[in-house]
Amino acid sequence: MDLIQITKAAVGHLTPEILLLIGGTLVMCASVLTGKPLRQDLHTERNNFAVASLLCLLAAMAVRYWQGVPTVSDEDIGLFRFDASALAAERLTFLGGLILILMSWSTAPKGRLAEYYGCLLIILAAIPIVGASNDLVSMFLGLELVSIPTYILLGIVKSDNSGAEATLKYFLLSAFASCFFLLGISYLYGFCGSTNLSVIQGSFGEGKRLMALGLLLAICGLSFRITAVPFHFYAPDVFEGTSVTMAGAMSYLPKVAGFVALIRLIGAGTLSPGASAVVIPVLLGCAALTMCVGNLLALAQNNLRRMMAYSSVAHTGYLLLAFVALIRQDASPGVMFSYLAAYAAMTLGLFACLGEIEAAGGKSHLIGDLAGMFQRRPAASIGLTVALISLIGLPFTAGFWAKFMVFVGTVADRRVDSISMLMGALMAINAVIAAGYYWRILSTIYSKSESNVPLRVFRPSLFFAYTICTVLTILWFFVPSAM
Amino acid sequence: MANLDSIIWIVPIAPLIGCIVCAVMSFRGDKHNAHVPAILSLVVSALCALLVLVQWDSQATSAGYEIAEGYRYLQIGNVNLNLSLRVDTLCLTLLSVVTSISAMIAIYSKGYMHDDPGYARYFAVFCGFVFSMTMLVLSHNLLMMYAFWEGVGTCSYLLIGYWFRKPSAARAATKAFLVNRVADTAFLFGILMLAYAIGHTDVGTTQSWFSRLDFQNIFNAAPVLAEKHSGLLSLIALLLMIGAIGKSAQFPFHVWLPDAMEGPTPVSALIHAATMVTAGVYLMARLAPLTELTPSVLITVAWLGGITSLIAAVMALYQDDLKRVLAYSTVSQLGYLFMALGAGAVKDLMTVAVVAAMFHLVTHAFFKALLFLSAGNVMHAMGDVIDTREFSGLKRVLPKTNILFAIGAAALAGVPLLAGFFSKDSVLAVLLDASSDTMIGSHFAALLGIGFLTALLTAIYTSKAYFRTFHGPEKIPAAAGHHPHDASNVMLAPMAVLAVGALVAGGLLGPTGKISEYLSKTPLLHPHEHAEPMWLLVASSIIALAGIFVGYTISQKPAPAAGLLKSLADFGRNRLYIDWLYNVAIVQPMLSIAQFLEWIDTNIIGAVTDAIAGLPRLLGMAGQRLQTGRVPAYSLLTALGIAAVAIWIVTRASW
Repeated sequence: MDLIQITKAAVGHLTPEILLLIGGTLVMCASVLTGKPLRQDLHTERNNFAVASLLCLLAAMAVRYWQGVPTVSDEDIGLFRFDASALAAERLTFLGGLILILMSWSTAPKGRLAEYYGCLLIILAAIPIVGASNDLVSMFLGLELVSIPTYILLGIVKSDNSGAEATLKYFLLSAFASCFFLLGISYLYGFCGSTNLSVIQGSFGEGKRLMALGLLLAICGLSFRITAVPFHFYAPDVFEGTSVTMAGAMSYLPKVAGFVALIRLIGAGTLSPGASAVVIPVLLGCAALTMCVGNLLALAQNNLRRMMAYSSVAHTGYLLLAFVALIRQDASPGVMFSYLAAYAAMTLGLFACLGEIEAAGGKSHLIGDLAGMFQRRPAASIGLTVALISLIGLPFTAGFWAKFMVFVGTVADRRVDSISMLMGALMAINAVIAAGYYWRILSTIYSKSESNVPLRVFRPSLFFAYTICTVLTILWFFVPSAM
Repeated sequence: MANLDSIIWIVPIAPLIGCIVCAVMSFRGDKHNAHVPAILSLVVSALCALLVLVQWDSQATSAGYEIAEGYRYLQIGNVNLNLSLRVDTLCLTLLSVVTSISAMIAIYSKGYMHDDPGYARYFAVFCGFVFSMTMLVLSHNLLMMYAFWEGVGTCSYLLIGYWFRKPSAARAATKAFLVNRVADTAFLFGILMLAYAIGHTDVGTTQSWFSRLDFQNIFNAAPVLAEKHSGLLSLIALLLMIGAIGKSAQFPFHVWLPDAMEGPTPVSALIHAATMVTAGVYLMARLAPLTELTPSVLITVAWLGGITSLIAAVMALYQDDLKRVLAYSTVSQLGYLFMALGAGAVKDLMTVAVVAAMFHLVTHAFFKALLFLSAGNVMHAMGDVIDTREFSGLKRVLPKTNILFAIGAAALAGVPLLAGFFSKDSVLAVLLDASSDTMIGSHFAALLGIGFLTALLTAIYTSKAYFRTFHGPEKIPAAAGHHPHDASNVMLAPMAVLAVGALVAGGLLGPTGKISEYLSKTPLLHPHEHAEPMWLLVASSIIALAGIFVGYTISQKPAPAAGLLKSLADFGRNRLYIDWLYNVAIVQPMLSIAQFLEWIDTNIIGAVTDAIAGLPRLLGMAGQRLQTGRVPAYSLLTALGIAAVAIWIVTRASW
C-alpha cells in the first residue's frame, strides 16, 4: 500500500473523531451561525448545547460501534495505527466525555456555552487521535489539540482572579513542558531519520546516549500532562482556581492523553536490556517520587480541591508503576486502561457529587464544608462514599482490582529484581497514607454538623453523572473483565 | 451437554435472583409479597435440580462427572478464577435434597412468618442461603467451596440472629459464628497447605494456586502426596476434617447448634437440621478419594462421630425444650454420619461408607425437617412456648400435627420399614463390615456398640418427647390464648410431602439398592459388594421398639426427685458441663489475654503508630513549602528535575 491509501484507510477509521471535531466546531460556531446571540433563555440554551454535544458524542460512539473493530496489519506504517490500545484510549475518552458532558449540563459558564462545549468536544476528539497516532507528528498535533482547548476552557469557566491565575500558570507551564517534548522528539527524529514510531521503536535496541536523552526528554514533556513529579506544581493551583467540572476534567483527560502517548512512544518490550537499564530507573524514581509527594502533600491539606489535585498526582504514581510493568512485559496494557477506567469512574464520580453539592447551594471548598453532608444531601454523600472507598482501593469497588492488578504487575519481577519488591512496598505504604486522608473526608461526611440545612435543589444531569460512576465502580468489581 | 449445563446453572442462579428481589423489597414498602419471588425461585431451582438428577443416567459421560463452565471472574497472570460447577451423582443427590426441602420450607414459612416485621428480610436471607448452599455443593474447586462455605455460615448467622433485638438470639448468633470461625480457620489452613503441597508435586508445579485446588486435580495429586509426604497429607486431612466437624456441629464444636434454635423454626429445620449442617459430611464425602489415603484421620473422625452421637443422645434425653431435644438429636444423627464415613478407613470400604452416610443424610433431612416443622406448629399454637413442661396432651388440639410429628418421630426412632430404619441400619452395617478388619477392626467394633446404644437412646428420647407433648392430660399454657388451633393448610401441605418422604424414602432407596447404584457412578468411588445381615435388621427393630416403650414409660412418670437418676438428669440438662468448661477454660482466659493485649495496644503499639502516622503529615507540611505558587519557582524545580535526568544519562556508560 502506498502512503495515500494508508492515510485514506486511517481517515476512515478516524471517522468518530472527525465527527467530533466537526461537531465541536459547529457547536462553537453556533452562536455566530444563527446570527443573533442565543440568549432567549438560559435554561433552554443550556439544554440545547448539552443535548447537541451529547448527540455528537453518541454519534461518534455509534459510528465506532457500527464500524466495528478495525483489522490491524503489520504493514500499517502510516500516521495512525488502530490496535487494541487505540480503541481502549477511545473508549476511555468517550466514557469520560459522557460523564463530563452530563456534569457540564448545569455547571457550564453561562454566556460562553458555545465555546465551552466546542472546546470540550475537540478535546474528546483529540485524545483518541493521540491514542491512535503512530508518528511523532500526529502525536504532537494530537497533544496540542488537547492543550489549546484546555487553556480556553480554564479561562472561560471562572473569570475571577484565581481563575485567571490558574489559567496563566497552566498555559506557561504547559508551554514549558511542550518545549521539552518537542526537544526530545526532535532528537529522536534526528537520530532515527524518521518520525514514524515503528521505526523509532525498532532502533531502541541499538540506541546511544543521544537516543536515551531524546526519549527521556519526551517522557518529561508528557510527565506534565500526567502531573508526575516534578511537573505537578500547577495541579493544586489549577484545581483550586477552576470550576468543579473542570477540575474533574483536568484530573482525568490530560492523564489519559499523556499515558496513551507514553504507551505509544514506548510499547511493551521494545526496549533492549541496555535501554531499559537507563529508562526504567528514571521512570521508577519518578513513580516513587510522584506517589510519595502526592500522598504526603494531600495528607497535609484541608482544602478539598488541592487535596484532590495531590490525589490525582498520587494516582499518576501508581499508573507509572503500571507503565513500568508494561514496558517489562509483566503487565498487559489492559492493566493501565483498567486503572484509568476505574479512576474515571471514581474521580469523576467524586467531582460530580461535589458539583451537585455546589449546585444545590452547599460549599465544597474545604473538607470541613462537607460536615454533616449525609444528613443534608444523602444521595450525593453515598456517591462520594463509593468514590472515596474506590479511591482508597477497598474491595467491592473497581479501585480494588485496579490497584491490585498494578501491584501484581509491579512485584512480578521480585525474584530477579529487588527494586520491584521495594516499589511494591512503597506502593502499599502510599495506599495506607492515602487511606488516611480519604478517610478524613468520609468521616467528615458522616459527622454531625451545626448547619444541617438540607440541600434540596435537584440537578438530574449531575445526579445521572454520579449514578453512572457509582454503578460502574461497583459493577466493575464484580465484572472486572468489563473494566 | 450444553442443555444440561445451562439447566444446572439455573439451580443456584434462581435463588440468587430471589434473594436480590426480596432484598429490594425489604427496602421498599411492599414487604407482604416477599414470599412470592422466594417460593417461585426456590421451586424453579428444585425442579431444575430434580430434572438434572433424573436425566443424569442418560447423559453421563464416561468420566462420570461434568464441569459446567460458568463465569470467568478474573484473570491475572496465570491466576484464573473461573466459577464453574462440577456435576456428578454425589452432588446431585445432596443438591436435590437441599433444593426440594428448601422449597417446602419456604412454603411453610409463608404461613409461619406471616405478619413478622422482617418478612422480606427473612426471605432474602433464606434465598441467599439456598444460593450459597447450592454453590457449595456444586463447587468444582475447594477454594470456591470454601467461599460459599463462609456464605452459608454468614446466612446462618443472620438467620439465627433474625430476632436480633432478643439478647439470647444475638448471643446465639455470635456463638455459632465464633465456634464456626475456629473450625473454619483450621479448614482454611488445610486448604492453603493442600495447595502448597500440590504445588510441590509433579502434577501441580505449573498450575496456579487456584486451579491446583480443583477437585479433580486434588484427586490426581493425592496418591502422589500420600506416597511422598504421608505425614503432611494426614495433617492436611486433619485440618480439613476440623472444618467439616465444625460446620456439622460435632464434638468438640457441637455447642453452637442447640443455641442456634433461637432462630425462627423453619430456619432450624432447613439450615440446622436438613442442609447446612450436612455440609461437613458432604465435604468428607467429596474428598473421599483423598481421605481414604489417611486412615488414621478417618478413625479419628469415626471416634469423634461416635462420641458426639452418644453424648448428644444423652443430652437430648434430659432437655425440656422441644426444639433443643431435636437439636441434640440432629447432632447425634450427624455423629452417625461421621461414624459411617470413618469406616472408609478400612480398605475398599469407602464407597459403601459414603453411600451409607449419604443415604442417612437424605432420609434424616426429610424426617428431621418434618419434626422441626411440627415443633414449629406446636410453638405457633402455644404462643411461642416450647418448654415440654408447660404443655401436654395436645393431640386433641393439634390433631394433624400430632400425626405428622408421630411419623417423623417414628422414622427417627427407627421403627421398622420407615426411612430412618433402613438408613440407620446401613450405617450400622458398614460399621459391622469394618469391624471384621484385622488391623483396625476393634475400633469399629466398639463404635458399633456405641451405635446400638445411641439407637436405643434415640428411640427413648424421641418417644419421651412425643408422648409428653401429645399424650397424657391436656395442659395448655396461658400464652396460647383462648383457642389454640392447628396450623393452616399452607403450613401443613409441605409437611405432608416431607412426611411421605419420611415414610417411604428409606424403603424406596435403600433395600432396592437404588442409592448405592446411583452414588457408585461418582468418579473414584468404586462399587463394592456389601450385604446387610438379617440379624442386624432384627436387632435394631427390637432396640427401636424397646426404646419407644421405655420412653413411653418415662414420659408417664414425674421427673426423679433425688438419687442417681436425678444427678444424671442434672448432668444431662446442663449439657454435660461442656459449655461451662469451654467458658472457664477457653473464653475467660482469652478475655484476660485480650485485656492484656488491649493494654499493650493502647500504650505501646498505639503510641508508636501514632508517632509514625504523624510523620507523613509533617513531611507533607514540609513539602508544602515548595509549593510557593510562583511560576518561576515551579519552572526552576522542573528544570532541576530534567537536569537530574540528563546527568543520570551522562553518567551511564552507554546502553
